[in-house]
Formats: sequence, C-alpha cells, structure tokens
Amino acid sequence: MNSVSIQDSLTVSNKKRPPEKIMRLSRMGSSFQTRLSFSRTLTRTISKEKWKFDPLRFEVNEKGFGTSVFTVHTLKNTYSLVAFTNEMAPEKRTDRVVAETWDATFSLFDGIPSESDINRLAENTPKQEAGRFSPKELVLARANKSLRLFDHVVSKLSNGLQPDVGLLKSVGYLMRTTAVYGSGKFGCADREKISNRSEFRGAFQVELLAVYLIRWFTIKLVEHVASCNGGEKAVLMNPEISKFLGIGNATGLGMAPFMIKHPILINNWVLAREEALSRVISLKSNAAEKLFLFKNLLIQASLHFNEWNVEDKKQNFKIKKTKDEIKLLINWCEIEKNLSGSFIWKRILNLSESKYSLETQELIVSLLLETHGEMIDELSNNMESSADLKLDPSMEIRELSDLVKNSFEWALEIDFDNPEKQRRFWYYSEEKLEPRFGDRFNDTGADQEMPLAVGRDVKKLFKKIKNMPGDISVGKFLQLNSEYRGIIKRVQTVVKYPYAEIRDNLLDSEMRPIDLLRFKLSFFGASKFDPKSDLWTRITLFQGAPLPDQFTNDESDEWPFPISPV
Amino acid sequence: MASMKSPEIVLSFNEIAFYFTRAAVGVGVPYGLAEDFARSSIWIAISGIDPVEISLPALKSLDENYSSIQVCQTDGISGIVLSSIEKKQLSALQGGPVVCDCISLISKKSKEYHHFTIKKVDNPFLIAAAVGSNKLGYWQISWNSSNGNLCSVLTTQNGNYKTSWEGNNIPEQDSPSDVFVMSIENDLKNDSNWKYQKTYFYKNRKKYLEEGIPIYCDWHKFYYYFSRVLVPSDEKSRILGAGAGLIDRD
Repeated sequence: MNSVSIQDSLTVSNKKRPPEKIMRLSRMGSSFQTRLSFSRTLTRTISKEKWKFDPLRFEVNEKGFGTSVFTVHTLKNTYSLVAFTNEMAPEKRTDRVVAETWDATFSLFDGIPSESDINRLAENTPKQEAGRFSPKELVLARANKSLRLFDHVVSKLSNGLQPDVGLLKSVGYLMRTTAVYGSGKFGCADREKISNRSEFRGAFQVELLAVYLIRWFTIKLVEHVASCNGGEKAVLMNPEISKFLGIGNATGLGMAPFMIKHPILINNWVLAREEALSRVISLKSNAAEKLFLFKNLLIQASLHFNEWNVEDKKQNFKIKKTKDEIKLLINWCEIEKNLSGSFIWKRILNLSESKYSLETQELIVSLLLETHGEMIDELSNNMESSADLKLDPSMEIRELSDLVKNSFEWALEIDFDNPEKQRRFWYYSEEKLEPRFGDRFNDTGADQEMPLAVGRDVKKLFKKIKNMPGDISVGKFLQLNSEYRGIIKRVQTVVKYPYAEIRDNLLDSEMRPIDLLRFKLSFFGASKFDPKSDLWTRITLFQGAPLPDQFTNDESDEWPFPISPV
Repeated sequence: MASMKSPEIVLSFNEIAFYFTRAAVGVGVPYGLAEDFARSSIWIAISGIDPVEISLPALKSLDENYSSIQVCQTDGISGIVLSSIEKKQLSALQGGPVVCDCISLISKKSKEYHHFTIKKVDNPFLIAAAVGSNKLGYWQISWNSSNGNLCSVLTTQNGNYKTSWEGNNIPEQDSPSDVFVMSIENDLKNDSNWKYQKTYFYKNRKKYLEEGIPIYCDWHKFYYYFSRVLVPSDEKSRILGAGAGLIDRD
C-alpha cells in the first residue's frame, strides 16, 4: 500500500454502508463473492505457503470405483481426503439430505490415515449421516456426478479429444457436493480442535480445503476412467479446461438456521467486507493501473455473465439486467471526464446505487474490492468468531426496553397479528433431520419450529416489558419469564454488532430462503447461482481456481468471474 | 463405574450442544434456558462424567411434571432463598441459571460474603455445573445426598472445581434436596476438605476434543426427549418441504 492510500483509508474508514441498508434480504440475495470470500482466502494461503499435494493412494477400477487418499501438506500439518466411489442407480441420485447413497463420499482426515483408519472410514463414510466418526475426521462430505458432463468428458478424453467447451460452460463441474459437514457433526472434530492452526484461522477454511481437494479428485477420476477406457488413445484434459472446471454444490435450507444461530460470526463477515469497501471508496486519488484493472474486470464480469445461464426466471431476469447495466458502466468509464477528479471509487459506487439494480450494486462492490487486494486482504483474518450470546442479568428492564426500541425498530414495525407475517416456519424433519420449511396454518410441526423468529420474538418481548416497572433487573424478570431468556441474551449481545441481525421478517409468507442461501454462499466464494426453487440452489465453487499443480506466484489469486477457455 | 463399559456413542462438543439443548426443549424448557443446560452438560462431560447419566433424571422429572421452572425469590437475613412457586421440586435446569444470574447481580454490587439457598432442587449437581460452566469464580455448592452425607463442590477459576467426594461417581440422589451456594473467603480456598479431586477444565477440554465425549448409558432414552423436536415426515412435507426434487439427474 502506498502512503496516500494508507492515509486515505485511515481517515474515512468508518464510512461503512449502514446495516439497515445491507442486512436486508433483497440485497443479501444479490450478493457476490469477493476476494475476502473463504475460497479466495484459501487459495491465497495455498499459494503463499506453497502447500504440497500428493495423490497418495488411488485404488480405483476402470469404472472409477474404489478408494483414494489425496493428501495435502501445509506448513505444519498434513491432511488427507479419503474418498470412496461406487456405482449407484441413476434414480437414487438426489441433492436432498434424505438421500441414502451417493457417487462419492469423503472424509477429510487429520494427518495420514492408517489402514485401520481407512477400514473404519470405509464402514462409515459411505453411510454419511448414518455413520459415526471420530475427532480424527475434520469434514464429512458427499458428491454426485453430473452424469452428462462426466460421461461426455470420459468419452472425449478416451478418444483422444478435449471435451466440448459449450457443455462445460453449461454445467461447470464434474461432481456436485450435496453436503459438506464440519465442526463436530456426527462425531467429527469440533472446530475448536483446529482453530489455533494458522492454516485454518479464517472462516470455513477446513471445509473449503475438503471441497478444493474433492474438485481435484474429480478431475483425476475422470482422467483415470478415460485412460482405462481409451488406453493409448486417451489424453489428459487440457490444463485450461481442467482449471475451468469447478466443483458444484447443492444447498438447501440448512444454511438458514446456521446464520440465525451465529449472529456475531455473520457480523464479522459483513463487517470485514464493509470495512474493505469503506477503505476503497475513501481513496481520494487513484492509480492508473487500478482503473485499468477495474475496467478489465468489468469486461471479464460481463463475459462471465454471458456464460451464466439458468432456468430460474427471476434469476435470469436479474442476470440480464445486470449485463445491461455493466455495459452502461463500461460506457461510462470510457468517458474520460468521468474518470478524472478525486474519489473515483466512491463515485462509481454512488452511480451504481443511484442507477442500477441491487445485483449490479453488489457486483460493483465485489469489483471494487477485487482491485485493491493489498489494502484489504488482511481483513480475512477477522472473519471468524467463536463468541457466544451472553446474558447481562443486571441490566434493568428500562435499559433493555431502550435497546429494543433503538436497535430493533425494523422488528417493532412488523404486524405479526397479520397471519401472512408469520405464515412460515422452519423445522427439522424426523427423516434424517432434514431442515424443512412449513406453512404454519396448513402444515403440521409449527409447535416444533426452530427458534429463528428473531423479529417476532423481539416484538413479543417488547410487548411484555414495555409497561413493566423499569427498575426490575433482567435476572429477576427471567425467574418467572424464562421463555424470554434466549431473546434477551440475543438483544443484549447483538446491539454491539451492527451487522449481526437480518433486518427482515423470516416468517413472512413472501420470504425467500434462497436470499439467505445466496448471501452465505457468496461469502464461501460461490459463483453461477442456479436457483432450483425459492428453497434450494446449485452453485459452483473454485471455478477458474488453479489446481494443485497450477499455482504460480503471480496468478494464484486472479480467478474471479472465470470465463471458458477458447 | 460406568466408564469401564464400551460407550454407546461418542459425541463431539457441538453434538452435546445440539442434542442437549433440544432434549431440554423436548420436555418443555424454553430454548434460551435449554442452551444454558447444554453448556452445563459440556462442563460435566469435560469433568469425565457422563452427561446423560446426570441430566436424564432432571429431564424426566420435568417431563413427568414433578419439577417446575417457575422460581420465586425471597431475600432473608441469611441470604437469598430461591424456590419453586408451585408445590413442586425446582428444576435444576432453571435453578442453575437463576442462581448464576443472582451471583452476577450481587457481584456487581458488593464483594461481601454471599449465601443462597435453593429449595427442593431435583438435581443438585446441575446447580454446581451451572456455576462452574459460567466461570463465576470461587463458590461452594453443598447439599445432602440421599444417605445424609454432605456433598460439596468448590468451583474455582476458569471452570475448574474440586469435590468433597472421591472419584467421578456423584453420591446418589433419589429425592430433592436444598442446595446452599456460598461465596468462599480466600483463606478457605485451600481447605483440606477439597483434597479429593481437582478437575482441570482446559486440560480436560483438550483431551475430549481429541477423543470425543463417551456416553455410556441410556442414550436411547435421552434421544427420545430430543426426538420430540422433530416433526414427523409425510408425503407432502417430503416432496415440498425442502424445495428440491427427490431425483436429480443432470
């Protein structure tokens, strides 16, 4: 960072976008990955620390079925992806939690597994949620093939040809993960076990390492099957093509409870991004090379959007609108006088906010951050938190009431007496604990709803306390009103974290869980959001990212908004 | 001792938090309070004690309506008295957090000697677990076991504690007992009464992070309470509730 930008960023770094603007579902549902996204952080670390990758074991037959161990050596530790692949009937292939069989199942092992560990995992990993794991395992995951692409790539490579780029563009991955479990699920290690390891200091790094290894594995697998089928005729994939292949993911309702349950963590994610943006837009001067980079990124994003084709009508409309608006911005940037003068980044953001759709606005945020890595990348170190909600029993009801009035105005304005304002509820189904979304007035299960109704519960609390004597302590109040303990803890805690709370009604009949999913997935680094309904989306991760043997010093982080190889 | 057997299941801390919170909800405890119970259960587990063995009777007592979570506080000459407002035992799932709230309240006001009596508690050790897991410093928690012996726990710094009995087997408790919670003067902290056990919270925590928490008995009974928060699946919810198809070919 040069001296001018340091000075600029220090003087106005508190000018962040306000939470009442940012933490709204409509904007959250328009989010894009940024260079602070967790997959980006991971590839930067891999490149910087020169991690070594080793396909330690690949005992897979000509159909691609068998056991594999792919290992990565970080600076201080070794981790192994243990993979089991097997045949499955096409009609068994589902993205849902209720699935019972998968094309491939994975455990990320802490270290190098012994034969006995592999045998134990062979008994459990293919069962996924029905298996039991130990703290030696850090992540549990599974994936299904995109059959049309997998079979096509096998066919082409085995005949000495490269796959059809058009088909690659339309799918983007060979396999799609349908769950990636970490942090203590099914007996796996709690995050606390590894939280002090430098490679996992950032948020979700271990889960994304597993996903990154799975992506590498899928490419090795398809090349292996092609080689078995084609013999001497077979070829490996062109590196530019394999780099373009990401790893798919199908995500459903499970992410919503996580976001509500971890408000401080969510605050830290958003705070880091908004701090980064505030640093960029507060730059008074701009270097010519930054403008050049920004304009190139606009063109890159435009090309990327051309390859982002989905069936969902709403998303298609948004994509089209954003493509049009990018063109307008590219034209705006061609006019020299627009780029002269100070605070160009702030003016570009203002332009997008006054003229363009939410989706374009958030894309611009991503591009502004992309051009200023040297002054923002360190913020990724602040995106983790294990802090919990904490009750202050000594607070007087008067003060609690003021906190609610001042910080939860958005919730107090909602008329929860209107049935449409609380039609929805989340619950765990007894069928594999699959998270589901119900209609309170037509479905069973509302009595067992998950505690996600922050707005409704805050309003109920306020109604209860507003006419009470103000000098009663919260501790005393809770002795006879223990049903408010959770929401009071939350109110008292989150008021210190501006971006902790989603400022919308999650129970509203019009609420679209997909907005929550997109928000969270954008922080993971997802691209090509492909909504399959309001409750479920497919995405691509690591598309364009270097594979283990493709890291170079100067290109390791230049893979956002990938476009297909010519 | 139960720990000589093979465990029925080995859980992570995160699973303890997940299952124990919801098992408490399953017997009618509100979520916020149930989360505090889960935190206490992790503290118990880190001590090397099976948290299901300790907490199952407390859940059962609530489920069978012998215990209540409604608390009444009276301030007397000899300290604060907490009791159930109904003619029932006081559930330790509520008694523990309430006494912790009281400790936090008075600790802010004065540093003097403090004494609380919690009447007719269904599971006294859970009171100690609440104080210990909240890391409130030096407090003595005492009660009489079923055979009349005085049982005491001394919570110390950082979640550590000592007991007046030997080993991990908590003296039997088949009826409710009054529990006395007292602040401890400096000169009593090293009293020889506490010679039997000292649990090193952070050291044990690391051990259980590496090994998991073994549950030796009654997991299926415990899971039954947990399963009450689950909603039965029917054809409609199976097809529509998750918003995704049941077959995905592409």
